[in-house]
Amino acid sequence: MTLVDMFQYGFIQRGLIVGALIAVLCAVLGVFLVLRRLSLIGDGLAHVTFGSVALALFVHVSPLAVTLAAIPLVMLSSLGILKLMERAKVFGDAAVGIVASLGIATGVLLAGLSGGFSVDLFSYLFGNILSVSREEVILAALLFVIIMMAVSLYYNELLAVTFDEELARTSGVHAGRVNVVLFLLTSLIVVLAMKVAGIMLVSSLIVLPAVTALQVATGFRTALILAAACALLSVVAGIVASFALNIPAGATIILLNFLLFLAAFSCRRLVRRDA
Amino acid sequence: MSLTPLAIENLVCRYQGHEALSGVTFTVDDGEYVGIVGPNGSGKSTLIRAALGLVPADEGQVTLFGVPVEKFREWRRIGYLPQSMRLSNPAFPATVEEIVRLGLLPHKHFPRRVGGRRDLPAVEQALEALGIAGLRRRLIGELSGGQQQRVLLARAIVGRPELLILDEPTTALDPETRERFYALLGELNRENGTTVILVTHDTGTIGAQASRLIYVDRRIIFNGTLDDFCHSGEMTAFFGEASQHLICHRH
Repeated sequence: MTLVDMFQYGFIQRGLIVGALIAVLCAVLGVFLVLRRLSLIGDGLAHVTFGSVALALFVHVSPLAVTLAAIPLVMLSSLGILKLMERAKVFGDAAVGIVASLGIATGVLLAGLSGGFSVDLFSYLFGNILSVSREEVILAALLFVIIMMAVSLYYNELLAVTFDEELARTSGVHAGRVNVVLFLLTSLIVVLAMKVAGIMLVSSLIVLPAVTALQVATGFRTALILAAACALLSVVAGIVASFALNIPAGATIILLNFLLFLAAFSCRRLVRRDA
Repeated sequence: MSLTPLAIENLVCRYQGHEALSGVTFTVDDGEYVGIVGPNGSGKSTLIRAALGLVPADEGQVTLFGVPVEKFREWRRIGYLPQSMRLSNPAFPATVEEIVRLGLLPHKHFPRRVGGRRDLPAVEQALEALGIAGLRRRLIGELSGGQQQRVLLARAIVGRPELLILDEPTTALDPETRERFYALLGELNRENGTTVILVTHDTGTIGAQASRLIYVDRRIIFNGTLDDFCHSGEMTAFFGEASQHLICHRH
């Protein structure tokens, strides 16, 4: 069988579509999050996702229902992180740490109550992009449209708040509302991305394409486009490599992302040395 | 009739138990050029941040153009440059032009698009005025402190605000740029009628530029012209003859 033949399989097609959509979303939001030093929010919310998944599996629901159940719980947790930062004046990393540990503790407790870690729970921990269902493709496409529209509508506000929150406030930007939008969108992509990379590796999809783009970007819009391109390339190449070499897709995607980062970093060093 | 751009009444701001500002009251009228001076740690920046609603007032009231600051929404009327603007990330990927364009955000309604054809003349003018037109495609993180300061000044003036509030704007500027900057402020004030509030510790320089000086040291010590300051017996008693002479002599 040739590599071309693999694209005839439905599960490969679904994996590629969902992987591409989610990776682009993670990369675009990742640029804003990394620049605001909130890189680890993906990791924190992924831990909450673990708790939500454990809860959903505890009550024995379908895989799509697991995803749908996780969305509101993770969204609420992201708002919890925001409130801890704004009201309790807790630093961002500490706020993420508090909510993350709460999520993972809940997950472990529920897993224990349901008789230990099941195969299902492990598939969410490490991801299985090639097991994406038709319903999950529709859900990913729908959320892709919603998130990209939100980023497009709030683009300048997001840029202003990312650059300097106080300065943004004196430009009439409702920084609180922009933060809520950013955190809620991040929750959505974290839940979606658990199928691609698994809960353990979700934050890499957010951080790596963004930091790669930041090495070589020549403007803010360019940074977003480059991050999306890196994410897309790594997902397509990762799925192909996974199929061809029979290796785990999620981990392959992340390692390819890291290789792209190394290439961008080297390019930047070379350009600087020549300048 | 244009409303008073800034009115502060009995403002008290407390920080970690002590009063950073104590019973501050003053107004800035339309078209004035006011210099706010005082030693380091005297509460100048807190005063400005409270005036913009960025720090809450523990007591007293601030109004911008007749509206209490907490209800104020007409941010297009105000241009602001914060003190010692530090980029939290030196690799921030926005270009000079992208940053300056953000100064037009208060003029836009949702969804706020900036940088269209209509915005180009204003952006061009601001870049030219600050002498940074040649840097427009450069990333802000690649620039020197003085250049970054000019970019942020361009951002503050691009929307032609009625009230310009600048907190220590010249600290990172070289003498030539500083002179050019003061000339630009004078021009904006005289020709466009822009009300200017400039915070600085450089009493001598601002005395030559501003129509009024406000000396702050947690409370208002002096509020008047430089001439009044130099001939005030009260100020002589407060500063000592030598210090007062030094300030007035520099002027």
